[in-house]
Amino acid sequence: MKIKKFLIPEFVLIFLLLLTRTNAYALQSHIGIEGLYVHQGAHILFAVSMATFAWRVRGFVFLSPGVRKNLFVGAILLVLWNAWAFTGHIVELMIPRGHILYHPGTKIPSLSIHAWYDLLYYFFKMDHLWCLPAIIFIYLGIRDISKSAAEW
Amino acid sequence: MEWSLLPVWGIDFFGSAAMILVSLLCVVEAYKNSQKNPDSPLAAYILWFSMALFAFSASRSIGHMIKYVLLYFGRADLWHRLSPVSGSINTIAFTGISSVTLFFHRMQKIMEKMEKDRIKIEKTTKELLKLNEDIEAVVSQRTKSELALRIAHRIRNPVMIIGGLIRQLMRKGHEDYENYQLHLEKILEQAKKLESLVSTFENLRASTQETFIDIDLNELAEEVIEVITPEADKKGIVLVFERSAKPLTFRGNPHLLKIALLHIIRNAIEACKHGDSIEITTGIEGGRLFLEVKDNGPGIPPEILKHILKAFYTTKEGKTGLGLPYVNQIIKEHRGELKVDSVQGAGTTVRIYLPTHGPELGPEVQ
Repeated sequence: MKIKKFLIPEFVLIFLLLLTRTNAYALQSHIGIEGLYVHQGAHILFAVSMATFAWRVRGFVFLSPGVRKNLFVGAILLVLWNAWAFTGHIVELMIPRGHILYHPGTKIPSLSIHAWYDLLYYFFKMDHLWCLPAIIFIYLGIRDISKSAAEW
Repeated sequence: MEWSLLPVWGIDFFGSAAMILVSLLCVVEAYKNSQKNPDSPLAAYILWFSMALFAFSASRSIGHMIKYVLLYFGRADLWHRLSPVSGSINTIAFTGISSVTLFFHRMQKIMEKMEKDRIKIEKTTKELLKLNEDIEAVVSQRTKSELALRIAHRIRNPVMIIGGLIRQLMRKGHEDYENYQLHLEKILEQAKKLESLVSTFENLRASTQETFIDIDLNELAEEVIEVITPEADKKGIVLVFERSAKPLTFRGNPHLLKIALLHIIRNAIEACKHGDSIEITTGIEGGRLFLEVKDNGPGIPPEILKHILKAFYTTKEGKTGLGLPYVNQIIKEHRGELKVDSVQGAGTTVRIYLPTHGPELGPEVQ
């Protein structure tokens, strides 16, 4: 293939540009707060999937009403836990580092309460109060599926 | 104002440990269920779901617990290095459980399709059974009529001839000795024709018995136990065979009876759990042969026991409910009887009775 003469200067210019020492923007760096964004996105996905599961399992005739109820409650609690944890991560960003105090001689820190978000942080950190009951309800549902498997 | 973070740390640490434990129990229960129902897509899905739940709980909880241990021992620097790894695994686990959970919709469709197919098969089978019954009734009616006509036709001539000859003899008496002898010979000839007819019918009956041969119930049970033992071993169930010391011969179809026995023992295996045992006993009782399959499983609820021999009555997901009724039909074809006794919590006993062939009965029974 023959290159047209009028294109040669453009090719030379591109070549020279490639040799120039500058920042490479081709590869995006994943630093800073990006990880939190991805994690929050995963919380939303998790919440949506659990809400869908709760909605579908309610009318799933192949499971007994007791099993359906336990799985439904478990899934709804996980939706609430996701919302709780999502908010908790945002509140965490609002807490200045100086509010977590390590006193000499103590290994467990204290939280200095100055504003409403300090209180929120304290309570939102206890997210197991949502997710542990959720898992227990799901366990009860799965256990009953196993129990109700017919023998004859 | 200062609040200690001890309650927060405590709830988080012990909550994390409990999350791992409970989600592990979910996997154990789901695994047990999948072992009970290896062909069920629902059982397979629940196992996947519980494994994803465990991955989510473990990835999250282990990170949390390591964090508190490191902070407690003043190794915050180490936690800052581990934190991104733990967080990333946790996020991946979130997407994992979300994907598995969203797949529930697909599983629901599969189950609905299977149920529709099952209903369709059930309906078609019912129609086929009805059709078969109708055809059998028509064929039986036709065969009876043809047989009656044939018998009447074949018997009419010799009987009429014999009757006529005897009447002639009675009229004439013994005066004409020569004629008397001739009449008797003719009567004998016609009687021979009738004898030949009777033997034809006897041969006909024998040809219908070809599918039924002499079998020993002990040998039949041994063959079936040999086939089913690997299934019992896999589930950790012990099969105990108490063989009758006497030979238990009878006439039957070995192929059909093996199917029936396999079904009964397989049902018992499905009902039992690891470590249970199933006793199989053969013997003679009340002039009949019997084979008993006794398990110490959970038993059958009385409301199910009432309908257990009815076709299409099932408590099993995805099954047609033709198992025990089919077994019952096979036993009935052998002029036998099927009995099911069950006590909830104590186990189930299935007994089949078969008519004896005769020689195996000891003098005390005969």
